[in-house]
Formats: sequence, C-alpha cells, structure tokens
Amino acid sequence: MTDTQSSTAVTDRVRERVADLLGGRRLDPADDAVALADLDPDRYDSLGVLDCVAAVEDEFDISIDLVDDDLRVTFRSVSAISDLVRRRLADVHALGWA
Amino acid sequence: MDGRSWAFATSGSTGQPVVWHRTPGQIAAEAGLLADLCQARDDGVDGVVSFAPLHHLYGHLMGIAVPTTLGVPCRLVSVTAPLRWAFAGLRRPLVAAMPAAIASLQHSVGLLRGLDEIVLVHGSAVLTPATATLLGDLAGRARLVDLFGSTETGLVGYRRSPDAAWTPAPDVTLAEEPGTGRLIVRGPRIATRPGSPARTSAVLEDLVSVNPDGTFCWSGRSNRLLKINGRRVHLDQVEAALHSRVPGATARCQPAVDPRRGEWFDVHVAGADPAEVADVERACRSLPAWQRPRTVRAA
Repeated sequence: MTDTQSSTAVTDRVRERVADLLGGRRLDPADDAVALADLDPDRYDSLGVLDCVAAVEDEFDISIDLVDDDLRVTFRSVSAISDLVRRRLADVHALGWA
Repeated sequence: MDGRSWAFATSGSTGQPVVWHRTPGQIAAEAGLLADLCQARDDGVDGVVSFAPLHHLYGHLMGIAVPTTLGVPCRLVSVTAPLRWAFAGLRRPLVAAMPAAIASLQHSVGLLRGLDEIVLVHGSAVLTPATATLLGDLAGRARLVDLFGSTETGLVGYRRSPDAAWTPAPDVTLAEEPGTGRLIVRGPRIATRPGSPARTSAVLEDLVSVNPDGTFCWSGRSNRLLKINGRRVHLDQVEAALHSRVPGATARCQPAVDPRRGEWFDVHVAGADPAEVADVERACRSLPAWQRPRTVRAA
C-alpha cells in the first residue's frame, strides 16, 4: 500500500466512525474539512468530542494525550482527526510499539 | 442572585424548568461542609480545578463558594481543553469532576502523577467504573469524595470509595417514605420555590435503604428518570414521543451506563424488520438532542 493509499484509508476509517457517532448520517468526503460541530451541533458537543476520542482510540488502537492538545482543534473535523491519527501512528511506528 | 438568594434552574428537559432559591447562608454552610469533607482547610489544597458549569448548584459551589471559603484560586475548565495550564503551579488541587471530566482526566494521568495529592470530588451524576480505574492509575495520590444531592436539597450524603455506602451530611436526617421507599431529606439547606415559604424537608425520587448505622444505599429511582450528564430525561416521555412518530413500532428504552455521561439509554425495537428500525432511527434524530439515545437496535 502506498503512503497516499494508507493516508486515504485512515481518513475513510475516521469518517466512518464519526458518521456512526453522528447517528449513522452519511458524511461526504467533500466535507472532511468542515467543522463537525457545524454539521451536527447537537451531537458534536463537548461530550460528542469525547465520544469521538474514545472511538478513534478504539479504531486505531492508539492513545490520545489531552495534556497539551486542545480537542476543539485536533478533533474539529474529519481532516483534523485524520492528521492527528497519522501523527500518532507514526509515533507508534517510530517507537516500535506497533 | 436577587439580593436575598441565589437562583438555580433545572433544565426543563422533563417539563417546565424549576427554579430553586438558596440563601447566601445556605450556600456558605454547604461550602463549609464541603471544605470539611474534603479535608481541604489549613493548606490541605492549594487550588480548585472545576469542570462543573457555574450555573448549576454543584458548579457554583465548587467553582465559587468553596474556593472563596478556602481562600484559594479556582480554574474553570472545559472537558475538551488541554489540562497542562489548568494544573500549572498547583501541587495539591481539589478537582471538581463529573463523568465527562473523569474521561478527560484519564487521558492526562502522566500530568496528574506529577502532583503531590488530588482531592477528586465527583458529583451531579452516577459514578462510572472509569473513576475507580483513574484512582487506581493514580496509585494512592488521589482521594475520592463522591457527592449525593440535588438542586432542591443540596448535599445529602457523601462517600470516599466507589463501593462504600453513603454517609449522610452532618446537618441532614434521612428517612424512607412509607410505602414508596422514596428518600425524605430533612435539614436547614432545603431550597425554596420563588414566593414560597422556607421548607425544612423534601422528598426525592431516589430510592434508598437506610442502614442500622445511619449510612444509606441508593437503589435507583421511583420512576424511569435518568440523569444524562446532569440533565433529566424521562424514558416514558421518550417512548411516547417515538410512538407518536412511528405508531406501528414498539420501541423500548433501556438504561445503560455511559462512561462520559454517567447514564444514557439504548432504544430496542421489537421485531427484526430493518425498515422499522430505520424508521425509529429517523424518529430519534428528530428528537431534542438531550432525548436522543446512544443506539437504536432490533430487540
């Protein structure tokens, strides 16, 4: 799998998990950069963000550190979450935890 | 505050919002009780980090009244905010939490392990298993003070372990209502409705059994009420709303423990017709946000 394919796969998986959290609604890849709170402000409140953190940790078997990360930024959109996941996966790979 | 009392309103999620008035004396008395229960006086804590919204009684007490009583600073924190700044410069913080905050703190255990001691106060919701996990992860560095109360009564009881029975607050007496088992609370901190005379007792929907040693055990509520992230949701009302939207479907709400809300619920649809389940899913999406279930599935 190429890096581009791998990157796309991460985004697809993130989009799918986020769609589940938002009640099974379909998410258009064209909206990946749109703030999830704008797409579904009722469901993607602060608790919805924490639900998303748990779902992403479960999906990718990674741990999200909240000491320095502002979740309103790192979990703002499908694109932002995917970027964070890719960084975490790279960390895991570099440290030999995978 | 109207010059004589503080006003706290319930959300109105199960009906009309209810406003409860508390006198400054009641607030000060409760803050003093909490400071004592947390063993926070005399340099016991050097600051408060509160996740609780100030417009709720619990948030007002932990974010304003208790810090004022102790003479320590308070930082108000969102569950989505980075926590490094919230604890900066503190060695012995009192943390006012609810389930969502516990979930946030669990992601910052490394930071918390660098503190000398944490008084972990938990209120406004059912304690989740994650709290015991967090206490274990902090390996004796954190002390739990779990609070039981309501906007109407204020603090009713407390416990220091997730498995312990509740100890009544020192200024209240408790009893079981004959026939129903509902909790009767008597004491000097009962709130009043606007324009109503002061009261010294209240009956809650909580069901308890009072032990011979004066402690009590909570066994649920007398109705199908849930407190989801501190907000009251009546499952009978949700089922009625779903029935009116999808008359042919039999949808039943089933309570569930949720790690970030304390309580939540799933909707089970009788029969395995995918189209009917999809209809109920659509109906759920049309409900007010606080009434929406965690999942919808075929029973």
